[in-house]
Amino acid sequence: MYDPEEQAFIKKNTYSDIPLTVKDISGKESNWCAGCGDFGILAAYKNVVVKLHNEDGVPLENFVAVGGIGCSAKTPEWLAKSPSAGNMGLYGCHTLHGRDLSVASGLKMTNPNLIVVAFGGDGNTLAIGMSEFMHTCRRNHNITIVIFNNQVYGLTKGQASPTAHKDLVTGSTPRGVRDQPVDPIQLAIVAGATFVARGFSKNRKELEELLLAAIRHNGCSVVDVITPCVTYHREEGGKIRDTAIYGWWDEHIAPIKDIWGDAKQRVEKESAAGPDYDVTDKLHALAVAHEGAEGGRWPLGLFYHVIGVPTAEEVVGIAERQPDGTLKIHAPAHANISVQDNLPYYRQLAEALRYKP
Amino acid sequence: MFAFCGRGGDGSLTTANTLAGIGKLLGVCPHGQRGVESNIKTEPTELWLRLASVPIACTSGLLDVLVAFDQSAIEDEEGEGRTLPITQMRDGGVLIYDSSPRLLYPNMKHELNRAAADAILREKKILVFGIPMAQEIMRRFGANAYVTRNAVAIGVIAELFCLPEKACRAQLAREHKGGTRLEWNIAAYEFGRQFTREQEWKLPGVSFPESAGILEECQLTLGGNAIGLGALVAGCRNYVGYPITPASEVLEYMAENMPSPGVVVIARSQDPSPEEVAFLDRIQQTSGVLIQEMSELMAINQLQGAAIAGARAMTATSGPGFSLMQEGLSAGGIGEIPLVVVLSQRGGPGTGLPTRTGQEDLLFSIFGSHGEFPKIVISPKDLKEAFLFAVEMFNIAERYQTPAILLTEQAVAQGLFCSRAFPLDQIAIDRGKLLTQEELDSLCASGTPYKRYEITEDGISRRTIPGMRGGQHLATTNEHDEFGSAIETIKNRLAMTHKRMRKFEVAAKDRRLPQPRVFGSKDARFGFITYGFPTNATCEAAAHLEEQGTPTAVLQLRTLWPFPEQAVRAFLRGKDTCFVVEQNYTKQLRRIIEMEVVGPRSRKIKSILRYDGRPITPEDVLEQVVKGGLN
Repeated sequence: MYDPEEQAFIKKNTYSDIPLTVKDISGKESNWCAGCGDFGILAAYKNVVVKLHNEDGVPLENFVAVGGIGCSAKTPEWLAKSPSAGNMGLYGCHTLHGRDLSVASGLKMTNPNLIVVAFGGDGNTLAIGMSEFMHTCRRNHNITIVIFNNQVYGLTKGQASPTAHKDLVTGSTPRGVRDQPVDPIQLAIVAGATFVARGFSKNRKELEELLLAAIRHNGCSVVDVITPCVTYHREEGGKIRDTAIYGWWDEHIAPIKDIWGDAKQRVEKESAAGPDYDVTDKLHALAVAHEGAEGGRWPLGLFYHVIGVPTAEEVVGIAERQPDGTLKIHAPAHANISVQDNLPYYRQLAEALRYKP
Repeated sequence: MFAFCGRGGDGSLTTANTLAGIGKLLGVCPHGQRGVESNIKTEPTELWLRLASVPIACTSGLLDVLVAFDQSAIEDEEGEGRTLPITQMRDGGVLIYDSSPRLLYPNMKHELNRAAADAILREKKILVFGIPMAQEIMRRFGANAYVTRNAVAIGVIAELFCLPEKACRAQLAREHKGGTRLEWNIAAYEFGRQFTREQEWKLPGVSFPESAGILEECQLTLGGNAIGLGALVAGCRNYVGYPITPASEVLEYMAENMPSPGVVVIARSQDPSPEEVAFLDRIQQTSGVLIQEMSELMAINQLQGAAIAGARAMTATSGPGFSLMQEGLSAGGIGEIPLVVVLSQRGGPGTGLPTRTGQEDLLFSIFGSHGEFPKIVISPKDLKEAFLFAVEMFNIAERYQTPAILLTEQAVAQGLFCSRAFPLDQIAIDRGKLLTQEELDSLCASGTPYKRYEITEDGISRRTIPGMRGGQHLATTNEHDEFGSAIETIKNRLAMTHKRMRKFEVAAKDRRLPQPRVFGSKDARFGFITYGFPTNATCEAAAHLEEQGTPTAVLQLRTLWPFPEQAVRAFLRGKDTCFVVEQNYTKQLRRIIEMEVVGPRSRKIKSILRYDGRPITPEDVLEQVVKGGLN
């Protein structure tokens, strides 16, 4: 699923010789509702961290979990060091509503060695944080964006989010949602993300694979994860709720390969003998996403994955591609800012702001 | 004191720059201010240029020479109620105008009709020199040469002030690198000189300033550039900004000069010498990034990420952008993140006067943002302080791990200033309680768990950055415990509030913050209190009062928050009257003085205000002193 070459940017570190366990990073117990889909994502991510540490050799202190605001955006809290849990914990930032991707890109653009993963809900990322989302994808920052998609705002107790389907009744839409829903998959692809996938919190194994590949991908990865809200997402006038909402979701999802059958007719270059679904083809990916969105079936799996597109960090030169394919990092956070050492350059700059006869 | 007026695109700025350039060649120190509308062409534009032997940091309200490229300098044709530059001329000054006939060229809206200002011209005994700038140039070189007509004005000024030929020609050659442009400009300039000689125009009573021989030791640039250089020297390696007037100068300076690995790669490909390679290596080790963000919301939050990651990072903005940044600043307050923000004030509210100066955001910069957290606000008056305070901002922000605001204004950021050379080798970098990996290792080895928000006596906790082994923590915008974990108990809330605010109490006693400065007679019974750009005009006015026999003192506040309450109290002791000089309507600085020092009913305190978007001049101050009375 991922290109082995892409691992080159993850450096081996002797500190990572001690194998990590999930317990080492499990912090304070989360305060999500029983049955919430978010548990599945948290568990999957912990396994991914352990794997990246033990297999790829990523030092624990290089992981940074960034959250916006919302139930899901609390994820960094449950990964942080906690004296009661006695864990080692991950670095984390619990930021503002919709602004997590700016903080994430700020971290990455000043220290490309960090593995930055942003966690936010559909409201956080696709309503108030839409601008951040589009531009983070567009610049192809080498970070992973995990969208917890459940069609509702949970922490403010059940209003419609931008991904809510038409006619969904919520606290803020008593007569049903009127607006078109947004599709993060199509947006991410069009905006320029280079790894776009959708998982389901319940399908832990597939989700883990997607997250692992997303983080290993050198570029902007978007993983939209369906995570049922058992408290505020109610279908058919409230008849389907609680954990029954999982059943509703089961009827509204399908693997990409199933939807591709219908979608490929939309792709011009398809012929009877033509190629099958190609994850590097933007039109294939868009066709599937579009077909799914139109038909009310949310496609699951890896939509789109291209490698070799320069990341934002490569474009500005702080991650410098070497002839052997590895990346040499010049982290601005670790720049030598000693005045003494830089005096020749500073003198040159001051000289330029002087009158020259 | 010169002013150049016309419509946007008429070349007023070019003319001012040319004259400033000639002045520089003659060793004279310029100070320039822009009075432009928020447009690229067509609206009335004023450029002020003051030339002096020594660095002067404010314009004068009395013009010696007014150059009018169109009617806008002497007549308010659209009835907008503009204050006309002609009314700011001193008695016996010179008006130089383009007397070409109307509609000669489509862009040239009006021939100058001096009858419109006849009364004022007579009353002030102004010498009026009309010269057909456009007509002559177009007759010789065709319509395309219209744009060079402003060089005629340079010729007239050169002749009136007997400026040496060599310097004038050298300056024109500098600006126009050969070709027909240069030829036309030289011809225009020569025409100006010759016409002046033929008409036997003379300018009695004013002479061109003499060189004091110090210009070559001076820095000469816009305030915004000095802020940019200060930031780089302080070690700023991540600049994030969204374009906004009047803060774009900082963005552009940083874009040009941020040491960048990309630049090094290009330079390496050009086969550099060993010395150059060594220099490039050093640049690479100190390289950073500049990001033009997509909004001020993204800028302030990107800044958070950069600061959390341990980079020295900065953004610069003006009122509207600063409004958008409030949530992020507040987050930096509770997250104890060293955010450095330059606020270059312009006239508000709303879009307001985007290209003009003001000091309307003092209270906003201090009290803006939701919730309570320590915030430090400092303000420079001129070029040298802009540089030094920009450096200091980073030390302050990291020492107190909280947002620090460099409060400046359009007149400083976009003003052209001269100052003594920046003391580069005296710059010290203080990263506060940022731990090194070794320090953190020994802390961890001692068995103490690292706590990012540890409660300490001075309220400041030891800081780690992602990538440091053992320093894991949550940087958070929620109320939190010592580890950063969200918690809402009463005990913790109080402890954390007190911890954060203790930092402010410590900062209030910190002598390393820019201290207030007193100018003039210490025992004067009459004084001024001011901050930022108006300090320059106030000091000049004070010197004038002193000359006239009134001992006068000026208190310049340089750190505005924490408020230097004791310094103000000490200054006011023994004063009969004290004017607070500031560029806003609501007397914002005076209100803080009343709040912190004298109470609301003090008769000692009076105000001198200017809030029309124009930089305050010594004449403004003196006029209002006369009105307000010395006692």
